[in-house]
Amino acid sequence: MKARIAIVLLVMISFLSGCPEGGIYYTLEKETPTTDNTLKNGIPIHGVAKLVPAYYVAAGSVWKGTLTPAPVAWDTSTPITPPVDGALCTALVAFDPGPGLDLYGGFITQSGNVGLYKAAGPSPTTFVGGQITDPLVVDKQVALLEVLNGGAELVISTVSPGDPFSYGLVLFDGTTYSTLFPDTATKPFTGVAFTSTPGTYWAVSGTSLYSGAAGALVVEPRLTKSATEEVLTSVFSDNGTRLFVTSNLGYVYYSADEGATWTPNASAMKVSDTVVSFLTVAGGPNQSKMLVGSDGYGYYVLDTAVTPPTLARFADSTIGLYTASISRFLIDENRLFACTLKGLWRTESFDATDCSVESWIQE
Amino acid sequence: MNKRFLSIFIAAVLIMCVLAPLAAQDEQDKQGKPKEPPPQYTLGDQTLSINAGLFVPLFFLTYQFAAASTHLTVGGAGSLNWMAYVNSWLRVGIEVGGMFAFSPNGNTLLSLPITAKASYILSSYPFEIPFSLGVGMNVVKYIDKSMIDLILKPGVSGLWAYNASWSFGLNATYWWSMQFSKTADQGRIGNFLELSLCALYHY
Repeated sequence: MKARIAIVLLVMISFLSGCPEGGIYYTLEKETPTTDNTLKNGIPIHGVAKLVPAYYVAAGSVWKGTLTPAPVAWDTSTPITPPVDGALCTALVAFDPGPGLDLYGGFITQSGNVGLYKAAGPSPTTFVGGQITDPLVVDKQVALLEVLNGGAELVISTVSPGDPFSYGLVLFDGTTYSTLFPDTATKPFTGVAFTSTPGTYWAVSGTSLYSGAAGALVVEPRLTKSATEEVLTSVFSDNGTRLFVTSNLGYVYYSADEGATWTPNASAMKVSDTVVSFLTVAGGPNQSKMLVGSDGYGYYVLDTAVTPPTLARFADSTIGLYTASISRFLIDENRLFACTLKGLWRTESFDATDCSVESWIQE
Repeated sequence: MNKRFLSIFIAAVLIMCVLAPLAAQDEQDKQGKPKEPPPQYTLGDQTLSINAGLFVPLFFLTYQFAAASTHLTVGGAGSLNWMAYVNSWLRVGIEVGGMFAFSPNGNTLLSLPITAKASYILSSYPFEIPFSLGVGMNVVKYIDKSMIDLILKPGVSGLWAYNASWSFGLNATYWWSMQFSKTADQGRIGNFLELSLCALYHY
């Protein structure tokens, strides 16, 4: 009799522990091996850029991947020649100062800063001899490169030597380098964005969000954070009007009116009581759903069609991207790249309208 | 790196289990000791055993009896087992085990079955063939998911009695792990096979 009761109890426990999204065995049954291409997986990816017909990725050195014939194939035997031997690329973008796109990369070595370099397009092979010598950037480490204003401007987040370091922003319009924010910040700038009316720059540094005209950015008073110690990690504008700010306390702040009003997700995003730190936002212009990269929990889809916006985590727990730290995305039509601390991921089936993908490939 | 270490560890355990009784037998022969009479176990006698070996994933079964691949690698399994004799041919007890195996993307499946166990023993000294059935719970963990399954573990062993206290042999145990889902068509029954070496101590 007691044995029967025990078995009935076991069956009940088994039923109660059933996963609503499918059991473990079901998950295993549906798991498929991830395609792993030739780029090394253990290296932090600091940027990926496109100069037709190729992609360039900052994975230690800068490597080239050809678009044709599909799929993307990486030349891992010969990198784009760094400015000095052993230099590592810390930031990479494609920017057009006229008459075409060039690669811009920030480099460091184990012994210190190397600086900002340009590799001339359309098919760059070397950064040697391409140092940017403007006084605003020449001796400074590059923490971030961002192309804004429809591709018309390049923003360089700089780290100035000293004790302690100081941090600033430099604006390059293709002809002239100018100060966007002087070297007075005590924390590095980790995000920068631009809204078009009347031409406002947005930047995040430590716990502060700054806004204003070039050279006159001030702390933005209209954003109310969840806590004063909340660190803001990125700012993004998809269309020159909407703004997204991510934080390390599980929030994405959304503004549809160029920063006049802000709406965060209803409560701090947590995974098993651990607060999720968000790192970056990307998505198609004017889409209700946006991608949000996190630190250690893959990516989420932010739905702005509802108020407050909701966040849903990318659901495939069987691939490494599920627990990746995603610092940047690059969207190229239906091709989506995710830059992580451990390699580059790509999908060929990205739908910007609902942020859906079919399968991920590890490059 | 972890997979390689675990494989080497399992191989080492298996080799030790095989070689230990042979080495001990050599020692006994050299000393020329007389053979002991066949032991007679009765109510109150107890056993402890340690088992280690391979975990072979077979297939998943839906509750509509459709089979599907587990996609798992061959893994490792082990258990500790305490039992008490009810009479000379039946012993009952409890077993705590564990297993690991890897998915196609290198994720680790872990299970911790805890079962009540009964063994019917056929004896022909110095050999013993226990037929066993374990019933209990199986705590399963995979990435960020944890579940508790109902598990049945029928099995058979072949044991050789080195002396009245020690027996060594091989186990073949079938794992029938029933996993339920709140989505009706996603429940699965895990069908696995454990092949392990056994060292059993009578006291």
